[in-house]
Amino acid sequence: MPDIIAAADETAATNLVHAAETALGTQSDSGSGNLGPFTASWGASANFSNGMIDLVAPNVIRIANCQMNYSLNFSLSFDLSSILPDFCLPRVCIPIPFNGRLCTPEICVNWPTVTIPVSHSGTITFTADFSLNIHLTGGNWLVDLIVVGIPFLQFGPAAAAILAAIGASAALILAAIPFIGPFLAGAVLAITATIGIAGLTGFLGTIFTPFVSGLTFNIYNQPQIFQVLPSSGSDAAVNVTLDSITAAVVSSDEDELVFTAEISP
Amino acid sequence: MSLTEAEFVFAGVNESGVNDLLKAFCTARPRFLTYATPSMAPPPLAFTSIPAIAFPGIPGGIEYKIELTTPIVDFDPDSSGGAAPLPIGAQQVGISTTVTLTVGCTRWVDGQNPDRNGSVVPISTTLEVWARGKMTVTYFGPGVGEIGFQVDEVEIVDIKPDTLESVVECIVRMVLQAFLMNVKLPFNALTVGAFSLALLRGPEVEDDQVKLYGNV
Repeated sequence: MPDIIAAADETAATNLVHAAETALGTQSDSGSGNLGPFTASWGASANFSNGMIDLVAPNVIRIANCQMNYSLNFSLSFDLSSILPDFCLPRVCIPIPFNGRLCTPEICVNWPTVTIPVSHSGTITFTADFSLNIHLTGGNWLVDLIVVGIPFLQFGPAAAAILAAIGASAALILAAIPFIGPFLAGAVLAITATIGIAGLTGFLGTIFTPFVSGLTFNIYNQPQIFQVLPSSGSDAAVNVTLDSITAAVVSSDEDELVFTAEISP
Repeated sequence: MSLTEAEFVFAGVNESGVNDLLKAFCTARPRFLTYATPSMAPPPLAFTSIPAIAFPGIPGGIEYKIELTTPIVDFDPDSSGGAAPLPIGAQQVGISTTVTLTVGCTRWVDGQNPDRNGSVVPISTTLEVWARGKMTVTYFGPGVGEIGFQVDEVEIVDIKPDTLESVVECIVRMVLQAFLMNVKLPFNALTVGAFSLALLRGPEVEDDQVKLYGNV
């Protein structure tokens, strides 16, 4: 029998996930870049909510129907002056008898920068499967969740519509390229349409799975020299060595995530 | 049967784990195992200083020392194979240790042998001690709490007469309880930091484990 056993059932694991979602809060990022006359800037923020833990023995932790609430904004600016020459209406003077002359001012036209803002907020609902990986690295025991699959991922109709619009716009530009343009345009349309349909029907996760499999998230990190009691006055800290750590999903009359530890003084 | 039973999280420490924790505690803080008047355990030996027992006519009082070995814990069911003179029952914990009592035997006047005047000769006896008690819990809030030990009875065999045995057992019970008052095992150690335990039930002693149940 292991020295220490700690177990959490699906309800407790779900509570832990919700606590982690709250602790994570809203994550945001932004950036910008230039390409010739184009200037693009973007910003994105997201947070997670809901989700239920389904423990599947022997080694799968499933987060079902978790929601990623996101907000995207994208701004594309194009400086028309970079392709259209600025011009000026010259000064014109009209002689006026007995009173000199009357001149108009020089009028110059500077082409403006056109900005196209796009913003969208929505929710992606997903179900993801993780496996457990326990390892001792750098003197710390780590338990990582490894993404093994996304059985379900769905976004809303608005996101699908935006994706379709982006695909159509890109196809329109690509179609103008000599020789291969039509083929590229067709491919882009097909890919964006596939992603859009898969996203609406929930099968997008199957497409994404090969790209995200293997991603890891750490859920446990404790030093192998584990402090039981801190030092106090003249008394030294009390430590034990975590000789081994295991983590597994164990199924009995309910499914539980079970940690075990062997310790030595 | 699930580990969490009707609750949501579970933390269980086997008696071997508790014994490892006790050994770690006593190794890091050896002064809790030795209690001595200053002349009985001079530094650098780690000890807890106690005053001599004052007694009229004994200059400086009675010097003494009490030494314990790291206790060994046995949770229900009894793992001694019947060897324990104080068998444990349901929900009980057995604690075995040895206690060495040393008294500074002082002769401040020895008419027949003046060389021994003022000499202090330590004399000792080592007792095998078996105790029986229960686990206690102090809960401060979610994730913060500790379990401890309560000694109910002590048995020391082969002391005659029985009244002397009762006196010694009472003294040893008080000493052992005083020592164990300092040994508190925090929840964080019982879950090895896997999660914060909000206590709903326990401690329960069974299956050679002390068990806590709760939520997160």
